[in-house]
Formats: sequence, C-alpha cells, structure tokens
Amino acid sequence: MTLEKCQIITHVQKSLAFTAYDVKWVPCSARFVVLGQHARGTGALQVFELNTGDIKLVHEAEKSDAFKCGTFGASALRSRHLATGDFAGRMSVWDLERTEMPTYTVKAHDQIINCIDGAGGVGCAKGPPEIATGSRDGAVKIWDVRQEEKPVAKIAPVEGDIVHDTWAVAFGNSFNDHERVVCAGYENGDVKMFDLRTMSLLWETNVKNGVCSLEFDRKDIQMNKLAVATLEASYNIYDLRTLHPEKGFAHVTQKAHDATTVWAVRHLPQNREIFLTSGGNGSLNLNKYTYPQQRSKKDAKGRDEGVAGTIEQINTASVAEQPVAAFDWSPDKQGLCVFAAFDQAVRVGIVTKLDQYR
Amino acid sequence: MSAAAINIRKNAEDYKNYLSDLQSWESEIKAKDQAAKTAKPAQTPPVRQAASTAAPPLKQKPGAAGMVGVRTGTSIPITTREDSQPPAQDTDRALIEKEKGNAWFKKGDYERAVSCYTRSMQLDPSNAVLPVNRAMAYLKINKYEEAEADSTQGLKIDAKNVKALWRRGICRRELGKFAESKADFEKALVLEPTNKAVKDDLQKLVEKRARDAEALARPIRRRLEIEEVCDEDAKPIFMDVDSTRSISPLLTPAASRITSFAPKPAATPPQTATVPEVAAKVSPVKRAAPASPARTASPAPRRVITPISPANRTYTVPGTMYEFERDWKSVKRDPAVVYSYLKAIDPANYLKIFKNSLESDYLSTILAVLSTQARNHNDVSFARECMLALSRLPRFAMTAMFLSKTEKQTVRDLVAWMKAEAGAAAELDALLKAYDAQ
Repeated sequence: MTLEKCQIITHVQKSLAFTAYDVKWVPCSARFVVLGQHARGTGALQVFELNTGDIKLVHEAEKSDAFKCGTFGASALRSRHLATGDFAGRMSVWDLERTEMPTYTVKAHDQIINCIDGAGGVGCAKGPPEIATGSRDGAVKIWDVRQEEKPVAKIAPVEGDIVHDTWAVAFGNSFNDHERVVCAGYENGDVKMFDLRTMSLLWETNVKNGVCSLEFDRKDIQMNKLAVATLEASYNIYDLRTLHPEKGFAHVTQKAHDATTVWAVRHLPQNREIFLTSGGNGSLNLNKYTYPQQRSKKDAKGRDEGVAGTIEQINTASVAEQPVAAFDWSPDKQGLCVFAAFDQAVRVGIVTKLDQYR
Repeated sequence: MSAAAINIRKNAEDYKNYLSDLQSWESEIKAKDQAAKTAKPAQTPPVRQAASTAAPPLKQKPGAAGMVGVRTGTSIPITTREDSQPPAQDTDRALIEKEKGNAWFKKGDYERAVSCYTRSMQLDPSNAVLPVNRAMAYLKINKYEEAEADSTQGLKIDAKNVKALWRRGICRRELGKFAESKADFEKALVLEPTNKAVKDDLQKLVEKRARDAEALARPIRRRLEIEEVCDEDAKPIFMDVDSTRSISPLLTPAASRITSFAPKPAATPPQTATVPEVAAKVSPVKRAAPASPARTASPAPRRVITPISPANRTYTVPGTMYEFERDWKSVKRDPAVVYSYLKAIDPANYLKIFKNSLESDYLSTILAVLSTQARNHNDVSFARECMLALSRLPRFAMTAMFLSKTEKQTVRDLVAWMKAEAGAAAELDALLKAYDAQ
C-alpha cells in the first residue's frame, strides 16, 4: 500500500456462520444487511449496526432458500424495504423490521436469480420504482411492486436460441420520469443495453469474458460512464456520452488483481470518478478515471465518436485470502464501506483521504 | 524523520480523525434514520406501460439508425405487458418459419419442427394452421397433452378446421378421454363426410374402447372366507380381496399367502401335511366369521389386512436363511408350530440353511421347543438328530458360549431324557461337550 495516497483500512471484522453473497448499506442509517447461504442450504439475512468501533447484530432471519443478491435501489426513504433474489428464482421485498413475511414476492424466474438492481427509490429519485432481476435462465425481468405476478418488461432470448446466463444487471440514465436504461451482462461476455422507454435494444457488445459486475457511475443522471468487470482479471470503462453507429461506445480496458476474477466494481457515491474493484485474490483496488481533453471527436466520415479517458490506480489493499465477492459504499458517509469475502466474514472498511479528489 | 515515517504518522492521524468523525456521524445518522421512518411517502410515477408513442420504436434491424454495436448473434426481443401489433412482415416471417418446420417434420426431426412452429406462432398468432401443425409434431413425439392444447388453440382461431378436430380426437383417444374423442371425430365427419382417415380413427377408437371395457369388466370382488381352526382367542379374520387394477399389485403377495402355494419342486408334498396334522390334534373350532357379511356390504374395497392365525398358514420348507428368518418371525410365537416347522426341515440341510449364521436366540428357542414339544411327542430321535446337526454347524462353539445357565440346564435335561429313552450315552456325552453344558 503506497503511503501518501488514500488508505484502505479494515475497521471491523466479524465472522459469520454462513457464506455471504451480498452486502448492502441501509440508506440513511448506520446499518447494513448481509445476505447469504447457510451450509444447510437455507437463506441467511442479517442486519448489523455500527456502534462505537464495533458492529452489532440487530436482526436476523433464516429463510428456506438461500439469498444471492439484494438491493435498496427501488425502495422509498420512508420504508427502505430490501428487494432480494434467491437461489430458487424468487424475488421478494422485505421490511427489515418484520421479516417473517415478505411485503411482495413473486416467482420471477425458474432458475437462480444471479443479480438484482433497483431504481426509482432512495438513491435515484426519478421515475417509477422498478427492480430488475437477471437469472441463469438468460432472462432479465423488470418488476414493479405495484403490479402483482407479471413483470413490467421481460427481456429474454428468442425461443430456440442458445441461452446465456445473466450475471449482472444495472439501471442507468434515469434522469427524468420517463427515461431509463437497463444494462445486462452475460456469462459469454455479452453486454446489452436496453432502453425501457422505447422498449428496444440500444447497444450491445461482447467483452470476450464473462461479465461479473456492471455499474453505471450514476443512476440518476444522463448516462455518463459504465464500468464492466469481467473474468480474467480485467475491467472496462465505457464513455456513454457519444454513440457511434458502428463502433458503439468508446472504452478503456484495464488489467488488475493478478489474473483473478474482478468480482465487483463500485463507484463512490460521493464522487463518480472514483471507483473500487474487488478481486479474486482478496484485494481491493481504488482507481480514478480521468476524462480526456475532448470527450468526442469526428471520425473519417464526419460522425461523432467518443474518446475514452484514462484509469489510474490510487491504491490497493489486500483485505482477505478469499475472493471479495460483495462490496458496497455507504451512501451517507464518504469512505465508509462494507465488504464480504468467501471466508464467511464481513468487514467494515474505511478509505481515508478521499477529500483530496473533490 | 524520513518521509516514510512522516507519512505513516500522518496516516495514523488521518485514521484517528476519521474514526472520531465516524462517531459523531453515527449519532447524526441514527437521528436521521428515525426521522426518515416518519417521512411522508413520496409521489412516484405510475407503473411503466408499453413503449410510449413519444419516439418511434427502434427495431432490431441491422444497419438501422441508432442500432449499433458488434452483432453478438443472439437476438433479444423485448416483450411488454401489452404486446404491440405485429407488422405485415411478421406474417411473412411466420410463413418462412412454418416452411422450416415442415422441412424438419419431413426429415423426422420433430423437436426442431416444434421450435420452428413455436416461433412462427409467436410471429403470427392469427394463423390457425400453425398450432395445428405443432400439434401434429407433438403427436409424433407422443406429447399428447401439448398436442391437445395446440389443436384446441387452432380450433379457437378456426372452429371448422377438420385437421384440428381430427388431431384433437387422436390425442384425446390416447389420453383416455374416449367420449370427447368420439365427439371430435364425429364433428370432423360432419364437416368432411368423405374423410377416410377420420373414419379409420373413429373405428380404432371404438375398438380401443371395447378392449378397455373388457378389462374393466373382469370380476371385481372376490371375497375369501378363512376358517379359523384352533386358536380361541384369535380375532375373527376375513379379507376383502378386490382385484381392481389399482390395488391388485398390492394385494397379490398377501393373496398368495392365504392359499397354500405349491411347495418347491425339490421338497416332497408331505411337508405341508404336517401342519394340518398338528392342527387336527388340537380340537378344531370352526368359526364361520359371522361379522364378515356385514363387512363385505361396504362398497369401497378395503385394504385392511387383519392378522392371520398362524395355524392357517402353510410354510414351504426353507432352503435359505432368508426364508427361515422370514418364516421364523411368525412361527416363533407358537411352540407347536415351531416344532412342526423344525421337523419339516431335514437336519442335513442345516448347513445349507444356517451356514455360519445360527444366532444364539434361534438356538435358545429351538432348545426350549425341543425340551417341551419333543418330550410331549416322545420324539427322541428327532431331538437328537436336530441337536447333533446343530452342533456340527460351523462356529457353533461361539454360539454355544452365549447360552445362559438355564439354557445349559435345559440341554443337560434334554440329554438326560434322551439317555433315559434311547441310550447311546457316549454320543450324548459328546453332545453335552459340544454344547458346553457338562
């Protein structure tokens, strides 16, 4: 770890009795939720709270199916319900004070829900609150809790085509009540972006390796950047402001984490140029994206073409021996984060000196 | 101080500052948390509908304006809650898919034909031919339920489609829905009286129905009355044997137990005669099971199998340990039966039956039985044969070690009795030694 730059420090570590697959901060609070699977195959949901230098378990629940992923993206500030996807393909929305029964549940897919994202809630106030789920059955479905049983939209391969597992899903471009874009990453490296206003495919590409994680730098602005983390130790950042008819979006690729999978890529909520990638070697890399002088230029035929910027690694820290599969920045406190590795432990981390990048 | 050391100190300071900051933040955020719980609910836009007409929908045609990116080969249509109207070119594409399906069907690849027809159905849901074709493909792979559903769908679109009616008739016939199948065939004949294929299928249906009815008409109830011969305190026994298809497999093993089945070819018939013989010695009590008529009046076939008195059972001579154990379980309750059972077994066969596994509780029971029953019947020779043969079994010494004191006393008594009756003292002494009962 280089010394002058931001430090990534593990503040508290707590071991769990189950494998954690996802961690999320509860918005506007000092609590976070850990979702995972017990050894006996049941789902584990635990809520911890930061308390003077330690974390305290405030609530736990065990459900029949293991949880894979969760999001607060579609929940209102008042209720802050957690939407989860589980191994049985069920999407449920939970009130963390009353976890005996979900407030909304639907059998979203017939196979495991690999990824989930929400928009229209606390972090992204524009547009209807929607939840996107991506599953091993190759489909991405958009749900609204106000509509029972049927999804608002379904994006699935044509019957008869080869099915690729959906590994990552993300909402973006939700800058007014009508616009929204959902981007899905598949196991064969496909990245497809769908416009939900026109219900059509906007852009697609193939990044050669399975996509583990996708994130727009901000959900609630006009789409600016997209980070795509893949297998084989690499990740791409796409500049989404200029779409070229043939070349698509401009991008920059970066290798990281010593030939292991890049499990998660997360932008800092307080500064969209700073993002962190977590790797299969148990390390966290803090990076900064710098825009080029000119974000677009003209190509030979006079059409607009985007120009990608550069990525600079600020610092790195090795925090676990196992892959760090889940990471979340606190939306309320800059530098506070929580992450979980496959070693059945959850850790609260602190990243210092982020103020210098304002 | 070196730059590194200064940095380390600075970092430590930063960390400490951050932590104290974190404390105050924690209390602040907890207050905000509480306040947020009582915040007023936000107004959210309504649930998203199908593609708005504000902008022209972009289709997935390569080269169209706005469609970009590397073609990845898999096409992803977006479907919404309300599907938009299919444009004219979709009917053409539907027909192309139908032709593809027909080609696969001719080649014999019915699965692929099904998927082609499915695609064409999605493109043009108003064409009745497509579901009917898919029904045919399903029929070929024996998926009758799906084929029926598809023919029904075809009929919804076109109620007078003879092919659909005909195919649905076939499916229903295969599924056993004979009345409906007949109705379908007849309706098809009404629409097209000269259709030979339909006539043939109707004929086949009639034949199939006759065959099935025959099977059903076989005798339904066969009540077996079992007479109780000895045991006064055994419960009244009877059995309802119902040979309807569903439960006959269950009852056949039980049914076979009641009748005395033919003894194994190797054994001679007189083996089974010993049981009635023994039974005859005890005063026979005939009980006509008065409660049975009342029970048989109940319409539903009852699978209640009440315990059968052992006296009515006949056993085959066991040839293996398995048979011996199986019979032993029911035999051991009644010493008389045990004795007759044992007598049925030729001592020379002990080795074959028991091999290494003569357990000590068998031995104890046999000895007990011998001491009472054999003495009653004065059957010295059998007792001696039996005991001798047992003692010659491999690992008998081990089993004998497990005999309790009372059992060894039983052995001594038996041997004493045998000596008194028959002599041959030396042999009997050897027997004592073998049983470790000196």
